[in-house]
Amino acid sequence: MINLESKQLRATYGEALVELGAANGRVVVVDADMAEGTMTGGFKDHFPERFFDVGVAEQNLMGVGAGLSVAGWIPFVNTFAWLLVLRAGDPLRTLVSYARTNVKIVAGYGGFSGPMDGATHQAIMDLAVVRALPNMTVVVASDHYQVRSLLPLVADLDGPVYLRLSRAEVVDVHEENTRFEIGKATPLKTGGEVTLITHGPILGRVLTAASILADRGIPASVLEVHTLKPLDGEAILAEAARTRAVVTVEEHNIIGGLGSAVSELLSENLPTPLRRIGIRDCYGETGPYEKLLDLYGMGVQDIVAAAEEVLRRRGSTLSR
Amino acid sequence: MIETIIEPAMKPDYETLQRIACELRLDALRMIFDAKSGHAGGSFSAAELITALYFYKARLDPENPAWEDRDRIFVSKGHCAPIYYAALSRAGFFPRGELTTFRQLGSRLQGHPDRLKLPGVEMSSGPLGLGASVAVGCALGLRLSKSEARVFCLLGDGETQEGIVWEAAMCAAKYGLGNLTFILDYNRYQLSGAVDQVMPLEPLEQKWQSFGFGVIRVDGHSIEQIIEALDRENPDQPKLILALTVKGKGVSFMEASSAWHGRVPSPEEMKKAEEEIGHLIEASAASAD
Repeated sequence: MINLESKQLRATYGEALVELGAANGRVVVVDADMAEGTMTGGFKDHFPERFFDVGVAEQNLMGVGAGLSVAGWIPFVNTFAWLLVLRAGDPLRTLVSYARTNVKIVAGYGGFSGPMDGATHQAIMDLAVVRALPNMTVVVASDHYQVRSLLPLVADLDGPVYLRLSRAEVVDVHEENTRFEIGKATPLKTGGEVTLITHGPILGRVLTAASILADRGIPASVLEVHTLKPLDGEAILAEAARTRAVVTVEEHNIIGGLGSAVSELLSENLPTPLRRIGIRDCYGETGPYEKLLDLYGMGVQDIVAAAEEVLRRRGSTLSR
Repeated sequence: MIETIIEPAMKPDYETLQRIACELRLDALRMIFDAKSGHAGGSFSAAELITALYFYKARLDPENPAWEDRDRIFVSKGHCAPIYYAALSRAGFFPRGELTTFRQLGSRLQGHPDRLKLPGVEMSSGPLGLGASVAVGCALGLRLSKSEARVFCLLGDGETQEGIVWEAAMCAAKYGLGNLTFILDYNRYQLSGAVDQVMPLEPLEQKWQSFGFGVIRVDGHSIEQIIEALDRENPDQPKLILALTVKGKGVSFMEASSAWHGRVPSPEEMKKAEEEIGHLIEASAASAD
């Protein structure tokens, strides 16, 4: 059964964090005056002694997280995505990535999901930063079921993790019996003529696009690469080898994120007609979330058109 | 080489500790000379501070560097790696012979400390200011574990121009971290000149007091004063030991100057520096007898 209730992904994270805190006594939470936004307030209420608020001080947020890990705890460090990778960028690199500490960085407000606050509060480059940091595991969550499933796995993984969440209203898309594994892509539709590769809440749009394509007689595979790093090259190459037509869809700059990762993999191993759907190297603006996605090239129709285009390109490649 | 193991509970042997500090200086000097790179000035100013921590105050087990209840020493001013490495090896974390590999390709003794490579290094450091924040997080974590272990963090003076240091200071005061001691190596020179010129820190004592720290001002080259300050406990308040030091201390032509922040001595300068430190070692040995 899929739960069709629409709610913000961050709210589910807040609930799942409380469950994790009850199940795992080594988990501690650090926030930077953002508990209202990151939804860590529930954890604070249940486990006040394991919750630390460092105030509006993101560099110290990261440093305190690293220090807690040295003392043997499993810190979950929370704030806006852009602050974590930019304001706290050097502590992130030096104390978490380079020092390979067991710090879990939970990035709220991924992509355009802080829409009304405007471009300064929207994270369009965070995945490019963390993907280029050695030792990091990078995970992007798409729905409530996945957040609840992945959180204990993130806690159990020995090493630094960047988990990107969203403030967006999301409806569950995964069946309750779906099993996720960090580092392994999840196939949601298989056997298509074209492969749609995606992660994050935009997965809902990708599935809608796949239905439209199916109605037009073009079955599409949908591969969810929730773990951006380490990239599941095997699953991506297998799909690309079969369809020879790939579209990546992400709520991120097309530079440095999922589209880049897949392009790099395919260019080196299996050059394949490919289109990247995402933010085309520009800043967003204030506006309703869904409208921003449409306006900045991440509409359902954009995905459908890109799929048809790569199929045309595949056709011309094959006929040459 | 002194083999005496100094137990924290014992009455400190100031003369022996003073001699250890000078011997660490000599090790650090030779490492820098051999590597043709490294930071002498900030190593020498910190010699007595590091000595008091590693050979008097801290409860450590070099045989088991990951011992849960060990005291944590964070060397935030990671550029003083030469004196830090000399102390770690003397404390028994790795063989002394390895000091000659400092800054060589493939060495565990990286230009700045790497916790994944070298036993005893609690946190990789070098980018300035970060150690203060890590120390605060670690002190929070140890208190949560109900551990008796204490946290010490060695900071440079120029380093405290970094904003993160004051973010960390606010946080330490908020949580009343009585298990945390910052030690500020106030040698008054940073890379490009005098601290007072580059970016004045004064009134430093009042600044730290106003940030909620108990401040103890000491002569940072007096083992006796450093130890007295380290031993003064206040369970409810973080502590800052403001150590007045001399950059390049122990080698006359290196003292009180930014020129020797990262300069390497010529062979002639090396000979003179070794002689001067050698005299200091002899003098401390004589006063111990």
